[in-house]
Amino acid sequence: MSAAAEPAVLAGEDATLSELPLLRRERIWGFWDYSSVNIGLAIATWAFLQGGAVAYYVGAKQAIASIVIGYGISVLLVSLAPCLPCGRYGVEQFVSMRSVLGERGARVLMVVMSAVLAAAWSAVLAIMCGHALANVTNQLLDTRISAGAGVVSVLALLALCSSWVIVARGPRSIELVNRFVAPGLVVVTLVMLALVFTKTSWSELVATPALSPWGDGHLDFMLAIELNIAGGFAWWPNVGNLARLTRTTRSAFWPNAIGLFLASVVAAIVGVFAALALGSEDPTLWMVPLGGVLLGVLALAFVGMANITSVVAQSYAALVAIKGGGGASVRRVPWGLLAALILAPAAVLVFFPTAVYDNYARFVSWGAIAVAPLCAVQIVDFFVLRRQVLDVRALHTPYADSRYGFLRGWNPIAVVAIALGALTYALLLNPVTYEPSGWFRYLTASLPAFAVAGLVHYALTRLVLAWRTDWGGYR
Amino acid sequence: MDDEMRAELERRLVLIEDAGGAEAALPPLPLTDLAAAVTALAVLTIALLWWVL
Repeated sequence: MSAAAEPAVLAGEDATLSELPLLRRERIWGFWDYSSVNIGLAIATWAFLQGGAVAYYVGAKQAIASIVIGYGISVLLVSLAPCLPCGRYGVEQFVSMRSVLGERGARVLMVVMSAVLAAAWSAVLAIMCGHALANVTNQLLDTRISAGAGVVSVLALLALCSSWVIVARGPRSIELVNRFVAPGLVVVTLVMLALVFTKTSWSELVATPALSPWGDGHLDFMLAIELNIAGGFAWWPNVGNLARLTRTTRSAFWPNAIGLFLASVVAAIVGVFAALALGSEDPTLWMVPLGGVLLGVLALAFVGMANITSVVAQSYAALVAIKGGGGASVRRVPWGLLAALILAPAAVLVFFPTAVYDNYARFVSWGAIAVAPLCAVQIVDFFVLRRQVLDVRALHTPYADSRYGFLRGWNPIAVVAIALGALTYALLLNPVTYEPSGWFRYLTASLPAFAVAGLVHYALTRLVLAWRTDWGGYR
Repeated sequence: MDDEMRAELERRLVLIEDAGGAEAALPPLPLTDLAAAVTALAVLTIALLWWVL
């Protein structure tokens, strides 16, 4: 063995926290390790929100079908990309995107994705925490705090401050989620399922109508499927850097079926049942009616805390991405200050609790507008155009000298493909009003957006390669 | 990227680019795995649609 193969990383440096490509010996997760991390992430409080949102459109049986089909499709696609490129080569997720979008394109994507999604998810979870704590106060102190009250915003802000304190202290958050909060949420989920069936029977549950359907059964079912496809795509920004830590490509692929798919499906279905049985889509209103005051308050307090750890996990992932790929100037910003900057937009959003919390479906839809085409372009690029082969050196070479340089660090073809995919989505499902067009009832919105983006990327890249063979390092 | 980081990156790239070495890229996912996942999802989808529609 050569001298070059001796120590794994620089002294005091953890390669998993930087954009350096990982060596095989640094991959720490096998099949069950990655599965448990996946389950911990999947059974977070947003699974209850997802279930509550689905119950808005469909009853129990259609909800089960739409959740399984919707999550099944998008989790399979997300498992292909970014999981497999990152898992196979050990490269950081947004570094792997340099072969698709170019160095500058991938950097902009990373900052936008990390900042916008971290802000939006953090705001939703912090407001949910505020709701949970307000409901605890209502039960214990006999107060009458409403969902849109200023107190909820203040409690949500406190949740964000608590999250910042934890994030600023270092990277132990995901471990905490997996060791303590995730098993606790599994217990809460199973207890909720049991309590639902003490309140109602299966036949009553199946007969219970959706909370607020459009009234067209087929359209409502397709809206529910779309909501769940979008929910699965929401994992795209997080999973690549987790799959990067796996020891085999099978370990990078299959655990997603156990965690992101199976665990999310179970939690969302329990959420649907609770929402239908209690007539409310807000998970923080389910606990006390289901478990009584004592059990309900304990569950609410636990869910409130679980939301803080989810904010921590979300912010931490965004911080690592920005710190690793944001360039030298970003690397010089102190960790605590960067954490505060990441959480600052969420601190503004929590002062509009009703607007943010009550528009969960629209919010998930906005994510899918970008991620469905992005995922398509990455899958076509990696599997079809590059035949699963990446040049790791070129990924880490400045664009002026890299075969992935494209046009001054941008791949205009991928950008156009993603834009056309997003346009397709918006034409089929209005992201502002959440009003579907005529074709939506047959196609959904995410799947046509995925197809259009993938086809455009393939066709335009082939066209350009016909007269410029050195384009993008495809040959 | 500072000199130390650049040297570490170079060291890693040399190891990863050694196709027969212990640190080379992992092999691709077997096609049978992908086929199994797609088939399972298709069967599950058809069964659930038959159940609810």
